[in-house]
Amino acid sequence: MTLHFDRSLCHGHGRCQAVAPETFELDDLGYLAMEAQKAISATDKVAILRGVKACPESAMHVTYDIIET
Amino acid sequence: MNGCPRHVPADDVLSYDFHFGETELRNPVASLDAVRPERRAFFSDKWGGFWVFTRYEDMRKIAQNPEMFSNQPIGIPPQGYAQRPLIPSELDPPTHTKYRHLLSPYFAPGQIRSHEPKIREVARGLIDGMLETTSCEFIAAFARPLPTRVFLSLVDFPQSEADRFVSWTHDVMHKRRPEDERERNEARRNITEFLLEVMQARRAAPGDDLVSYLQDGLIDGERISEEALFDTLFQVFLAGLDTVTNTMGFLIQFLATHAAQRQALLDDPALLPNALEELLRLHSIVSMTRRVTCDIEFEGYPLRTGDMVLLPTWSAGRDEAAFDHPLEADFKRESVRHLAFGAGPHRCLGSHLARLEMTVALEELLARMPDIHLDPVGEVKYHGGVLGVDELPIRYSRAEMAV
Repeated sequence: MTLHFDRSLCHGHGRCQAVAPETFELDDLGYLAMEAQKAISATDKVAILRGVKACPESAMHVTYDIIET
Repeated sequence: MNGCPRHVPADDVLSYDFHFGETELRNPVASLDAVRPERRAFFSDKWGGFWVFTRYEDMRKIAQNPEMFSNQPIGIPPQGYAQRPLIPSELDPPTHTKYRHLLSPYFAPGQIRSHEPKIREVARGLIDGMLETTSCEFIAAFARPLPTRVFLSLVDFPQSEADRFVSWTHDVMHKRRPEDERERNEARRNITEFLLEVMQARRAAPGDDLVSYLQDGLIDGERISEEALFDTLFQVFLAGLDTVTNTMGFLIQFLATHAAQRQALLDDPALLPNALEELLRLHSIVSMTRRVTCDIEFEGYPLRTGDMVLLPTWSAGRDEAAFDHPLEADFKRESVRHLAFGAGPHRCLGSHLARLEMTVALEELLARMPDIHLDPVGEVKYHGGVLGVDELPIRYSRAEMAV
């Protein structure tokens, strides 16, 4: 699973950090400090989705990687 | 239908007056609930005419697009808050960004958290006053003075000025009828004189307050001009007062009339932050306004340059397309989101301060007045513009006496 973050849509609401503090860290100005794309482990999934959904700007979304065998 | 621009389809016209409409003001936060499922957008023929978008996602997209939807000017009708453009509200990027960056550090979450002790002190003092008896009018006793006193301490203005500020703000924000013009102008003059006085005082003797911090700010490498400093202070002054007062009115009205949910918070205080977000969702009071900058079709609606657009955030929070059981207050709702603080580059700068004030206020009120309830005499009346409760008569017992 990959978490995508569009920095241009982040306007510092801080809701991601509020609902999933262990997963989302804000910078000194209150904006999400995260890279544009980040691989997510299964253990982090629930918290990640909570934060993604809480963003009023829809600045984040998740894509699922399909593994072909 | 008189005066609607020719490009607006007749079928899209609906009268909606969020300032003074009698029907609209019966329950203002709910005033679009019946319209929204049928109409994604419509054109109101009031106040010179304006589009209204009723749904969350459309409002979000518009607020995120300052190139097509400008903040110059804001207000339907256009401002008379100040006779000069508000900074940074009435600027568009890239100029907007420069002024916003000047203010951001002061209002960042970490910085705001440092004010918690002072905020709690203010809240407790006001509650002490309320507890001298067992009933009061909540807006006057608490909701109005709270943000005023907090703001005054942030900018190191004397607390003794609080009552005057309250009445000036009220006049500037709410006296919008033509016959009120003299009072409104006088209030604006008073605010202007006061801010200029403080600016002068801080130049002579800088401190570590908001004004002192701003006056040395740089825009394009040059110190911010006196005019821009004044415009910024005027905006910050207006923005932080009425909004918190009005929201607190709705929050306490809700808690005072929903005993089971009030009890849920008493039983589990850890629910409070999420409960606050959920109540903000249901009682968003501010509307964003934008001016269309080019002829565009937006989601099928023919917008023309110069058209004004209203984004009523109260409708966004209650949007059935965005939320399950949208009208139900569920303190355990996951990932509550809303547009109470707007979206896009103009996202409410004071949102962290507002949340802190309201969280502390609710903590203190619930702890010391756990049985707070509405005085049954009389109905609650609302005002429009920035939506709010006019008066909220409440009754309560001291915590140790409430069963």
